[in-house]
Amino acid sequence: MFSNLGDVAGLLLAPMSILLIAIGSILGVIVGAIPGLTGAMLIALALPLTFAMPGEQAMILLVSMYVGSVSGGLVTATLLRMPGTPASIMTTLDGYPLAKRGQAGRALALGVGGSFVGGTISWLFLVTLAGPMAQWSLSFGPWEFFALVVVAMVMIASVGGKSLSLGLLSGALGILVAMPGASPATGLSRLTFGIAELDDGFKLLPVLIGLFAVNQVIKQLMESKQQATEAVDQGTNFEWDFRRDDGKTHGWNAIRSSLIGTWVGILPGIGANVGSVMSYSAAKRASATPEQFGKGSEEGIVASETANNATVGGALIPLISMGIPGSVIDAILLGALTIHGLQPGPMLMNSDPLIVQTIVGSMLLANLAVTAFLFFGVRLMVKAATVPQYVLLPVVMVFCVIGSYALANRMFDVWVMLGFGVIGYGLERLRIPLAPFVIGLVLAPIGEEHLSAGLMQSGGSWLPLISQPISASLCVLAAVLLAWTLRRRFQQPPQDSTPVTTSTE
Amino acid sequence: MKSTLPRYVVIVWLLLICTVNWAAEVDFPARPVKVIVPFAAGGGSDTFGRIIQSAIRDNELLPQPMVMVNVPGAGGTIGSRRVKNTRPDGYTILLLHEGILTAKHAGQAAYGPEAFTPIIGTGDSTQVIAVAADSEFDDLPALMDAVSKRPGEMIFSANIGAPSHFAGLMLQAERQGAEFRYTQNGGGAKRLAAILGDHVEVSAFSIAEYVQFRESGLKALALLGSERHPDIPELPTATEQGFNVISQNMQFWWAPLGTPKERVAVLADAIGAAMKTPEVQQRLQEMRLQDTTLTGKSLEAELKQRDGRIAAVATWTPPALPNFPQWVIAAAILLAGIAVIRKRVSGEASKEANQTTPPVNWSPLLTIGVTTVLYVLAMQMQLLTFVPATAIFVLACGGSLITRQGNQPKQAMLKPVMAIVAMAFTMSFALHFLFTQVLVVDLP
Repeated sequence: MFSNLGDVAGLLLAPMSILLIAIGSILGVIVGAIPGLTGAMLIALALPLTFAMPGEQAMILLVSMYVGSVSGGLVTATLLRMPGTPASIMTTLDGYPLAKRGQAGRALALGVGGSFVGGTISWLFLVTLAGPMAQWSLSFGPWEFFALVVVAMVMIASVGGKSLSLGLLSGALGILVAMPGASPATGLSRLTFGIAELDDGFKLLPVLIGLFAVNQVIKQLMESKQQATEAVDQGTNFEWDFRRDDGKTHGWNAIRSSLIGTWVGILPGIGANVGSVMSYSAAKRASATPEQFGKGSEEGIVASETANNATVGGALIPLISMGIPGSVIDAILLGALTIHGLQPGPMLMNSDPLIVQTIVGSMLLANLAVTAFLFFGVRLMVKAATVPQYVLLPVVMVFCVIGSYALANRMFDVWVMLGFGVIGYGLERLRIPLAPFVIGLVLAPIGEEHLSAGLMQSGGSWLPLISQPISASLCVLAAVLLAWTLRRRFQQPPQDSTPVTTSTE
Repeated sequence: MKSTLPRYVVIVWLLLICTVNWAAEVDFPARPVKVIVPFAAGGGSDTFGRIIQSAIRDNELLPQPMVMVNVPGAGGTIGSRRVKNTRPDGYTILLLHEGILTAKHAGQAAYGPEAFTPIIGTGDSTQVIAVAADSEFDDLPALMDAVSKRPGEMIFSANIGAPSHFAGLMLQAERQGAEFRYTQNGGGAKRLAAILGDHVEVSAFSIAEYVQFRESGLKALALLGSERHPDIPELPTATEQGFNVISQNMQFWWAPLGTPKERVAVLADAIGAAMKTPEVQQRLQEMRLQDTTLTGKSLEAELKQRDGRIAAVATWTPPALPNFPQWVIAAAILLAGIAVIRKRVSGEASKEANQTTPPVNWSPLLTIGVTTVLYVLAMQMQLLTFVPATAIFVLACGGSLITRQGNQPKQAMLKPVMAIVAMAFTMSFALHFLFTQVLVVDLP
């Protein structure tokens, strides 16, 4: 791929490029750490600032932001239990409990290490697979995508908590919340109850901010005065806790998570959050101590953070090999290429090899820069966490409000955000896990669009779902997963459902 | 507890009401104009819009830049609804092609061009019927013969309700007994992927898309224009092949109904001038777009004519898809039932669980909750702009939370109070600067 290595190296190591990588990585990490601001938003908003730059420099900046934004979420997820981005939801489940036990340094070390490994391994895949992948991606049709969504849903429902029925219920509620608005297949609007603002449906971002950030604020206010400081006490005095045998204990987990993350990243439409969910559940199933998951499992943190960073490299593969975006952010990068006069598509690698190599090269450099910044900058970010409740809560609320508002410049999203804060709190009090809810919400439109396309192609027949090899094997996988989980639950005596705090607590 | 919080809140909100929101009247546009592109970044519309945008910026045709905002979904209806419902101040406009007509006739939107003020029509593009490069069909009659032989079986990849869909409908209306089976794939790049992946057999693309995708493995069968295109002179029109189908696609710029005439004129002039710049002319050539500019009466006449052409074939009913919302509601009710039963079965456990639930402390939640609602309301009703509202909100919340900490000496309170005041100012001014100046969000 690097036929003219000298040109690319010269371009990437120029002072301006290094500066752009540093700015992009730091902004990405910070925005990723702040709930309510997402990488997609940062990159979309930074895009106009790049018009004056040459295409290569613009891509360097934007790719660095992408890498940073996926990694930054782990800090707030671990220390504050607020996933800065949807991609670090799964990190919250284990990072926060571990930090609460006084091992914040350990949790962060695992997260940062995992991020670096995931980014690097997926980068290797990016370099080797981008070319061959162009041909292979073509074989995926609507049924394959739909089957994949089903597998992901079953996986998340069985990860979500102690009870499969509550997990599935949560998933169904999440899908239900995704229903109002324009149908992804026909564009006809439905379930809007005559509310014009609902024509757009419930946007993901305000719902997520509500479910996680506002819900947490409510919980802190209602349940205990001490909880706020409990979360942050660890912040000031942790020591980086990298261990010499980490490679041995977590090596296989990291490699598996990188593979899953890269794989999920490659598949169009499914981004970092699904990658971390899938590798998290895979790690839980493979673990010798699955009961630790959700209570501060080291493996959980490694799985989540490795996989979400691995999706970045994975998602860039279809982007540069086919001009098809692998995630929301890649869609913006695609637009950036067009603006700078470059034609995305299978021919891009031949017609403009330098831009492809720049994208690939800056991902590697940004990965290094982000790791360095996380390593030296966590203390800085943690400083924010030592702020007392009376300062922190208003600030968090203002960020929630402005973040929800800025998404589409409308107050409706702010009300949605506040409403889902209350709903999220209510669900957790009923011991309904939140993760399947969110995943249902994210996957429902994707699944429905592909299912509808499939049904329209087949004239209403469901047969292709099981008559085509890839979708058929995915369906079998989903069925086996479900049956296996059910069997395990029923074999275990009822004390399994005795009082335990929900997994997201 | 009961006495401390309401007093605090009352004082702060009296302050709020006293604050006046003054907005200076300035020349239009005083801030960036947002252009909603109801399609994904990288598509034909998006690219076109950005060419005009940079021409306007480079030639300083407007005192403020244009900002492109992609709001994709459902053949452009999600983005167009957004603009339709927005404040008619000229700061939010829509760039939407023929899709505005087709969405109305496909029943996706209850409104058409009549719900907007047309600003200007620019750059006409012709559609192309294309199949995979290795397809057995080499011209339109061969394709349509096959369609008539097996009606309802050949899969036509479309963006349902959008021009690509209507190109198929117009084509099949020309041949007795011909009927495609339409499937929803979305934008040009997705339809290309569907063709290359062999999931569908035929689709319609704009000329720009076709030229861009051609080398990936597309073969054009017919041009849906009145005459051959100079860049692909070898491609015959549908009319030449015996099918009287013309499907062109013009990029229209729209403002919400009720936008002041002067502002519409300012925008139309700027966009029209941008069309005449050499760089846009060159890009139009590259994108195979005709150098058309329509405003005022001629724009309205053209819209009416195109509306009629589309209305003539708009009898398509969507295929009976399962009622997904119904299924989901049923599934949720079923699962809720199962969960309740499971809970009954292990009833002992839940009783124990209730005991571990921490006691509820309602009062601080109520204070913060009410304050937050007032904060958002004040900005929504435009009683306050972002900066004072945020400062007051942070002061109010912080203040009520300090008072919870109980009986401390007055001196010890000084530091937290200072911290809150500092934070209130930082949050309001710094965030306002960041969002309005750096991130181009228009805060209330």
